[in-house]
Amino acid sequence: MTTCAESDRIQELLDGDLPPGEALRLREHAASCASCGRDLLLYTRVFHSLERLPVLDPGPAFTARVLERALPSRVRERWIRALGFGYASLSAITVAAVVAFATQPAARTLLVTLSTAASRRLAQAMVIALNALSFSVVGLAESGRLLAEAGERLKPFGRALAALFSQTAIVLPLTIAAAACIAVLWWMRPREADDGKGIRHVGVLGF
Amino acid sequence: MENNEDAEIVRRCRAGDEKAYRELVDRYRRPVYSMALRMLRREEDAEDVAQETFIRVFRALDRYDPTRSFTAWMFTIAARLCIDHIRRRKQSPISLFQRDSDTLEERTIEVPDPGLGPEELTSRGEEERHAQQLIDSLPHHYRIVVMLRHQQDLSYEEISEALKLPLGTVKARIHRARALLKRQLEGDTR
Repeated sequence: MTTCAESDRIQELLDGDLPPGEALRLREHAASCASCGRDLLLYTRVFHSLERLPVLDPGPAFTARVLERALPSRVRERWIRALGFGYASLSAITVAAVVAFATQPAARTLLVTLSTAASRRLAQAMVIALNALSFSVVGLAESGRLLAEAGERLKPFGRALAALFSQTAIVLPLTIAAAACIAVLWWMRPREADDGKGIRHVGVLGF
Repeated sequence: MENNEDAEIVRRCRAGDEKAYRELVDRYRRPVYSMALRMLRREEDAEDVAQETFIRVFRALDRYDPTRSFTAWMFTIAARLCIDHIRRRKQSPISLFQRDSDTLEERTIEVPDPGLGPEELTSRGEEERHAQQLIDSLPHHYRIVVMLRHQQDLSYEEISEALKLPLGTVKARIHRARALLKRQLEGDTR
């Protein structure tokens, strides 16, 4: 079927983009032109199909999930801001009240009395703390004496071990075994992979 | 009218009204999810993208200009997320059209549609199924403009703004997409 030049405008017609006169003329043309008539019919079906696509609903649980993810940060932000403003206001009021109170003569006398009492209490607290410290030092010295006594009792075992290790037949194999252990551990230490160089060892093993 | 209602809800959201957030999601969850599902075809992906759209909308509410269409603004975010998702997934669009290397013309090819499962398809009406198949047959860059135009009722200008595409490109893509759909219907009727 041949295509009519007018058929290009059918989509504009269905979009409602053509002026009324133009739209009427194109519809009349489509009634008499087989190609445009067919296109108009098909495009109308396309438009209808697209507009009839159902709107799908993920369900109310979706809203709950979104709000659960989105709201805490927004609400927290709002509360933190409110808390910040409240805290700043309270601090300003407190500072103003303290300054106003301290400038009164009666308040000054009261402050002097309070600070004297506070100094006395502080001195007493320091004396108590020093006492506690000295008792602790004495306690530590006592425990040191106990440790020395325990050492005296363990001395025979130490002497026995020293005698054992003075024999070459025992010390030599032990030293060799320890050296071997250290060598193996050193060889197994974590190393950075060197590109491709490791293959050499495999080659050597294969050989 | 609708834009005024949107602007009012946005204003309340900005003021921290929790009910307004719920209202906004309830109002737009269907169109956003529908578009995401038609673009991505997997329910989990569509839900993820729809959720992310709302989260980003909420985060960006302070930057929203109330003189602009809220719907267009929101679909800008949704559309970009869908496109990003498709790119990330490296999903080749299941297109029924292939470009001929000699003539550079697109021709119809037979591709099985792995989209919605048989249970979902039988549960919907025949016409609905047909419309869905039509949409699914489009490459994603055509599908998105058609969805925004026909399902979200956005104007060409709004689509152009939402997708950051020149107006001419949007018009051409929509016309081309409809022509492809018409060709498919033509094939069905033969």
